[in-house]
Amino acid sequence: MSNDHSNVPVISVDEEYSGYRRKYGHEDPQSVNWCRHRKHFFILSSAGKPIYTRYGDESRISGYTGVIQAIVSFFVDAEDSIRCINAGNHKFVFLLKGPLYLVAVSRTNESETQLRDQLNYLYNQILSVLTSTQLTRIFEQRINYDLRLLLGGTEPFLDNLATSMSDEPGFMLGSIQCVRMNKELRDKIGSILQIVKSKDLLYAMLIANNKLITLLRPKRHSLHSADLHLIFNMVNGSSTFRSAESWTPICLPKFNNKGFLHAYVCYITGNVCLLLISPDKDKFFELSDAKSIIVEELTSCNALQAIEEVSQSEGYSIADVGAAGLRHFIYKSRKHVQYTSPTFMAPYNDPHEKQKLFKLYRYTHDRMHSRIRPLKVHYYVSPTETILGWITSTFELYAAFGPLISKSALTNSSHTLLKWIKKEEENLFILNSQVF
Amino acid sequence: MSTTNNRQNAQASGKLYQFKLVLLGESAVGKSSLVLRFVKDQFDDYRESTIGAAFLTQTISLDDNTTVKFEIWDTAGQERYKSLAPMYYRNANCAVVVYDITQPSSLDKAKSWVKELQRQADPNIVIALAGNKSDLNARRAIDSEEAQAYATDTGLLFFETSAKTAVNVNELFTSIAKKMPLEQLAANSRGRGSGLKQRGVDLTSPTPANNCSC
Ligand SMILES: Nc1nc2c(ncn2[C@@H]2O[C@H](COP(=O)(O)OP(=O)(O)OP(=O)(O)O)[C@@H](O)[C@H]2O)c(=O)[nH]1
Ligand SMILES: [Mg+2]
Repeated sequence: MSNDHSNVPVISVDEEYSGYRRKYGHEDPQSVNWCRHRKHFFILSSAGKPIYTRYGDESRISGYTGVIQAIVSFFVDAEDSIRCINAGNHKFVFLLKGPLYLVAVSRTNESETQLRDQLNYLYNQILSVLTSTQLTRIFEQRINYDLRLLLGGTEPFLDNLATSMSDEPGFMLGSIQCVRMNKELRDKIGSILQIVKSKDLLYAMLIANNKLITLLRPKRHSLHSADLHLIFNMVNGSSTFRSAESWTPICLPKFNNKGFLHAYVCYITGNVCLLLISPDKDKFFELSDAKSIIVEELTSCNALQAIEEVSQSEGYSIADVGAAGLRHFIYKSRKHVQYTSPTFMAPYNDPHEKQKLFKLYRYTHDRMHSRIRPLKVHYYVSPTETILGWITSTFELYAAFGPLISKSALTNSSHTLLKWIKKEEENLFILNSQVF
Repeated sequence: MSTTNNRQNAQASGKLYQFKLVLLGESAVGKSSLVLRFVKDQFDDYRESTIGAAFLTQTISLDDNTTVKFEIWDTAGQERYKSLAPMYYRNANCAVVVYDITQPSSLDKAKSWVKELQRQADPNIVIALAGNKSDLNARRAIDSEEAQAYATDTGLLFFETSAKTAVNVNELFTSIAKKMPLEQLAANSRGRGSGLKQRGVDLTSPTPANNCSC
């Protein structure tokens, strides 16, 4: 942060003493530092009112949101709609969703599609606290409404989401990660969740480290990975769930963007969080009782302790795979919409190196999913890595090797990896989710 | 911990009453902080805003014969949760309405909550007004006398509290417990109301001695 606070307004008492502190919250939107961020997200109303900015204080960006609104309406007036502007090494990507405009301004190498996907995740995050019904109604009544009044307290979730989308491949891949766990243990937990199934319960799940341990769901309602990301983001984005049993409305847009479900959230060990989701807002005590039963059952068969231990040590290193020359990989099972990836060991435990690797993955991902010419296999050799992208009907693989590896060594190594995944499959993935 | 011992002692010879308590007030006045001080004796300078509502319980003993268990709904003060509040106060026996002594607007908000409770909640509800953050006396914006006068006129208990230093936190909850019409509640509160009902067993009725809850 710069020392120049001369034109920063006096911090209001309210802000100073409210719990959540934003890392870049006080940055001046006219300053060099603010402009220098690699990826901005803005959300504004169709009337041009600022709603959210990833960096700085949204009440001070109305100059920019006014310009965005003007650009958008210029195209709207011509019965067109703006999607993307390329300006030097910056991309401006637009997502227009009725009363809301979402804009990404990025000089990362992410493609227009990838950035628009991210804007969609942000939009879904807003729906998850308001529902589309409420959102539409508010702006129908008052086009000039200041949506921040209703989004108070949502900033941590939008911020957390913005960071996660750069850090976790799950958003780009449209899939989630599971806790690596012995199949017997996972099945045991699943069968215990089955005990509490009832008409009050829609979904039950255990999560740890932003990963799924197990999920219980009705046969006719699978849970979309985009909705799961929102659930993870909610649990991960606030520390308040750690201090009590919580009960909150949540809209899962892929399930139903028009209405709320109600989530019972409670940590049952230091790491492991139980979520019970009901369509009925009056079922807190029923679900709280269900939690007690689950905890009791898990304790009596020593599974509670086992889950906590696993959650602390579930990651694996690339060395466990034993594929020569392989440095890192992301493997997505297309059937199960889940991915697996080793922990980031040296050199990728360095955030800068990790970002560089991600950049290569993103580039490869984008090339392979190009709308004009999608690819099944793609090699990309950078000065530091060779990246293999490989898509079949069952999986999507992104694997990083050294820059000098021969094609035959790379092929051998990839097959070793696939064999290892096949062998570990039932521990890495949830192959059959618990249904009722 | 002493609370637990007290409970066991009291249970051995006395009665256990259970009350539903709801906390209301503007966001960031310190509702969650007051509850966590009361229930876990913790305080966090960077506490984040409550999502939805949080449920906690705490048991205190009033004397050798009387133990009170509070079932507490700590509601979220953010505007978008406003419409959920009735679900939490509808069956409440007592309420703590909180404002922040450094924020004039928060007292106005507290007054409107009091009005709403007096109109919509159980007519016998016991309401306490808490002026929180009394440790920030240097930045005080609301006179004690003014708030006290309002509380007296309106028939509310009144305390200035600090979740941070723990001043008056236990006193607040204890005086609520003392003001509850214990016997009357024991008789009245069975099988009432809809919405978020209490847990299966109705503990509001006096518990026989040695009734182990394990
Ligand atoms: N100095 C001081 N700070 C306090 C006190 N009580 C709470 N705070 C701080 O005020 C902020 C808000 O406290 P919370 O307990 O989260 O407020 P809340 O009323 O629960 O807010 P919502 O959950 O949004 O409705 C936090 O940063 C607390 O650390 C107090 O007695 N003294
Ligand atoms: Mg709170």
